[in-house]
Amino acid sequence: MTRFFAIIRVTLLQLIGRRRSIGLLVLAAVPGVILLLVGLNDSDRETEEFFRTGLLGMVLGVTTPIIAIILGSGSLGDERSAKTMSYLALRPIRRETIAAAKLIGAWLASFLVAGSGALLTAVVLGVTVGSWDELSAIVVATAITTLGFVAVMQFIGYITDRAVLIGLGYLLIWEGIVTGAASQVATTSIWRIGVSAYAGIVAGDHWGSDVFGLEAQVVADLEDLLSGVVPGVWGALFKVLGIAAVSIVLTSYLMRERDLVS
Amino acid sequence: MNNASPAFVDAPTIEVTELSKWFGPKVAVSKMSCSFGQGITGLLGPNGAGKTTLLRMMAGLSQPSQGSLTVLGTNPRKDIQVFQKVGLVPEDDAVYEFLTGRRFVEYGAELAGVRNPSAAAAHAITAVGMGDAAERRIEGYSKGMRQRIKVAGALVNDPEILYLDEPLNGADPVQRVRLIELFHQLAREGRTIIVSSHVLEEVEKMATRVIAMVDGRLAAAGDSAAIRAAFTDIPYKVRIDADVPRKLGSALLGKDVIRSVEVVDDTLHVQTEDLGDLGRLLPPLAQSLDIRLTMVQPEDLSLESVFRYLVHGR
Repeated sequence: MTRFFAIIRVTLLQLIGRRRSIGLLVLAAVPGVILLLVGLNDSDRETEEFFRTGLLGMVLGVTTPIIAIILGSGSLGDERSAKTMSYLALRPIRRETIAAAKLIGAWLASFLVAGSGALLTAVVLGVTVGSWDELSAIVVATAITTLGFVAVMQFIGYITDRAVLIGLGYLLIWEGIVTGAASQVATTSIWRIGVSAYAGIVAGDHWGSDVFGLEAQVVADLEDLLSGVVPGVWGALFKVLGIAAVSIVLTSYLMRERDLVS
Repeated sequence: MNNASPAFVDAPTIEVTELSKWFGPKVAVSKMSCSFGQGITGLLGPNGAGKTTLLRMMAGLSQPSQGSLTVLGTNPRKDIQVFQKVGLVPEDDAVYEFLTGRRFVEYGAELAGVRNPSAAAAHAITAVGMGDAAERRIEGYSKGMRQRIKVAGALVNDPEILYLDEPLNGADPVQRVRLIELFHQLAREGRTIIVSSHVLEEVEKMATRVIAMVDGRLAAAGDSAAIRAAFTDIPYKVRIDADVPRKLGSALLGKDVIRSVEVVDDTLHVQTEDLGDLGRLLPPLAQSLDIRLTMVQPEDLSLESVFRYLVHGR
């Protein structure tokens, strides 16, 4: 386990101990600042509705994914650009262990940054509207969304040095346009999976199988963001854990069977 | 496989058999067969000869396209436990710049599963003479310091086999001497050390045995003295510019030191086996014939051309 935690620790330092973290923290704080400005001018109900219909989409569909794309790509991508992959891989450690530890490290880094922004947004909502019920929902949804994106991007970051570009293209085209227009494929959208976790917690339904317990207003507010994805935090968690498992298997397979990238 | 060949050793720790590696149409290593044992072996060749590719395959970082290799009796691509016993100093600047030197080496120890990472790191750092700078971040290190901390990172798990890819790059003369002494000491302890370099003089100082590569193939193998002797047998091409080149060429033809003479576009090209003898012969001869020499220049003294001669005889 020493090796596992050592990799996580160094990955965290590698990803957040840099100047880019400052830029990402500023990005993460943008929704909170916008909500504050809206909250100062609008009524409580209008602010809450603005949060659910617009700003939540910005947190889970824009800022959190961008942060996760950049840091997830850097998980193995930074090892690749710094040529340190051999230092990591030329050790008696199973490739699955390396891939899993790197993934957890990158997820923690992403969650620290994106989660701070989400927390700020939830606090602003609590202060301006007086509703603190959303706090745990938005933080959990951010954690789930970051895990999904980091898992995908770690793999892409291992195979190409243009991972960030590819990730942003994927976010815009697939996650933004395609899954919004076609509800049949919306369930593959990582950020909508995050929204479904949020909806599940807010509605008090943590198991994802029963949507009847959702408050009518929440359903109405989140209809566009969910785009047909069934609300439920556990379902969302299982989906992103599945994505993470596939990412670990594929990455470790490439590390084992193909030349180690450098 | 001819085990009597100087490319092979009696008690090998690494055996390479008909090993090839290609990247698309480019052949990086072609049917290399050789073995390595305890002590220091120099892997010599010009840039692009395939040394790093061979080292990467032996280290288990790269999959051979064809052929086989064993490291301590096992395939490093299949048995990761062998990494417990190997260390690599890559040619690249492969360091975590945000870590201190000590933390970098400790991290290597933790990854290798060393029982006491801090003590192992301290020992390795002392061995490379980096004790004073160990608490500084690597981003502030000079090239030579980075090289030494990489060596410490490779030594931290007390490896039986050490791969060193251009290990003296960037090291100043004092550091070079110290690193060479360290490598000799490690070799005396019974380790297998493979040093890749494109500088013959550098390899001669470290290795008693040399494997020379060019164009991905085995060019020569043997002890350093044999490789050096092979080099001195090679005829050198020399370009001579003079005001009457044909007259000078005719006069040179009969001399023992000259192997061939050719005049192309009023420039004299001669082949000699001894540059020193030619240098001593030329000025008095030109003076006696009243010929003015404007330039005398060896045409192909690069290591690459020497290796090419060894492989292709041209």
